Amino acid sequence: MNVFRFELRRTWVGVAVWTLVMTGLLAGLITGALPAFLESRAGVESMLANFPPAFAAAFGMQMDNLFSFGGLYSFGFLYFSIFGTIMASGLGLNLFSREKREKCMDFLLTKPRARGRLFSEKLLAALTLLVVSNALFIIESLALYRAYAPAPLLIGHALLAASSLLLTELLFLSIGAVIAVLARKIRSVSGLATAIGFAGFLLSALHSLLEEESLRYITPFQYYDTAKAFFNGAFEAKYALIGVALTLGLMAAAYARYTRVDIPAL
Amino acid sequence: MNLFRKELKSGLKPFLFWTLGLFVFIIAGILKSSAAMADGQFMTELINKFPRIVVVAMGMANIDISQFAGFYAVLMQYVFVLAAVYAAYLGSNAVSRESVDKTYEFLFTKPRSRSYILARKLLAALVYFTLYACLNLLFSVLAVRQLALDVDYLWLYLRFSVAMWAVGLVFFSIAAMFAASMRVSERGARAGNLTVLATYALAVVYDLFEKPGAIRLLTPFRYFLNTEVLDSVVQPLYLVLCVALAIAFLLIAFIRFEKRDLGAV
Repeated sequence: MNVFRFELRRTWVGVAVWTLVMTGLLAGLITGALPAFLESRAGVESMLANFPPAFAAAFGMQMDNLFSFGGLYSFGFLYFSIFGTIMASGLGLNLFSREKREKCMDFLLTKPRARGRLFSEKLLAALTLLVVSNALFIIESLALYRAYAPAPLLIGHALLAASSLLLTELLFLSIGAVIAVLARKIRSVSGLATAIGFAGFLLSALHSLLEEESLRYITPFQYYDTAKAFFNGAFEAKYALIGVALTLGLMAAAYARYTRVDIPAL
Repeated sequence: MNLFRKELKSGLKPFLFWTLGLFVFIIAGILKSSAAMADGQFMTELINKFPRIVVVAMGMANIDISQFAGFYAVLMQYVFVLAAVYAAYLGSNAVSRESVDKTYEFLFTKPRSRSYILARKLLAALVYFTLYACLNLLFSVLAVRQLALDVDYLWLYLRFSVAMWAVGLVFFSIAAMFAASMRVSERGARAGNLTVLATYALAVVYDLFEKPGAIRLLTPFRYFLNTEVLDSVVQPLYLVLCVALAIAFLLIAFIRFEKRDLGAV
């Protein structure tokens, strides 16, 4: 378990800082904006009263969902996703390209451990960090939900919604890992991770702007839809399955490559 | 000139990659715009009366998608993000690429000062970023021609492209400064990228408030507001601010780079 311990020691501080920032942002969003957000409902409703009843009725259906804990949480989720996916893809890139960047591949691979074992230990270290980080995020989400959301509470729904961040991060961990293993050279982990995270965000923004359904197949931020989880208690199976399949497929590809690739002489 | 040419050559592949992203984003965005604008008019009228925080939570901040110009402005908001990430990459890459590739001993023992070399590298990167802004203009014109609109928006595209260039310039020089100031190149790159992320988060916070006040000065993403660029209320103040910030950051970058210890980490 040396590799596991080593990677954990090298990366836990970064993940801890990301987690701190994200939990802080979540607390700030909910405690700072939720009361004002819920109060503004009355104003919007009185305005809607001036509109044709049919329209007000159609819009009113969404009011309960929009003006709720889940409504604001789902809005914030888009931005937490940027932070989370930059962290997760950075973790994947960092761990699986470490020896490549530091030009010590031969050092690690000549040790009496199979490559599969090395890969698994690195993966386990990344998973441990992401799971711990998200456990904190989920616990905080549920605590805020209990404290701020009006009854009736649907803890199951909230749990599912909060865990969609973990699932999205796992997908980006796989993306990071596969890039780290395939790329000939990684010049900057943070540069690539930022580009990947913002690419996910921009795809998501494009999808919501155009409301083009087919775009959603390539929009990782919306594979695990927080709003759907909050209000229906389930992700949309089609997209969730794509997400899971991609996560596992990419990680398997990274594993296959890592265990077979030729190591260039230095 | 050798150095400048070589820098242009090595920057071409990343440039093409980022151009592809810009191309897809603009073309897909504009070609599909009519569908998004279809029910935009009524919604926009309604939503503009909502409290700010509700509008932001519905993802409709600064949006007036009833008309093409408003839609284009929203698209540009996101293109700014793309440009900022690219600009930060260019800035830190220009400074620390030789260290990362462990070729710094080869280059910096040549009979040229560090400033001379750095200036050529930054200039080559800036050429690419300027090209990027020009391509933004070109793609916009080409994509919109497919829509066959009866109004000519050329000046609008130009204003947004200039704004994009100015905002990117700030991130470019901040990233260069961080890369030049830190001994470990990965740390420099990380600081530059985190600046993009943090200022973007601040831009979202800016949107949340009815009267954000001084936050605007802290985030280049809000130096050029949609509404102002649309109404061609030129903000020379912010344009000057962008250039002044860029000059200041680049100056620090040069000073630090002259003095620092070059290393391979």
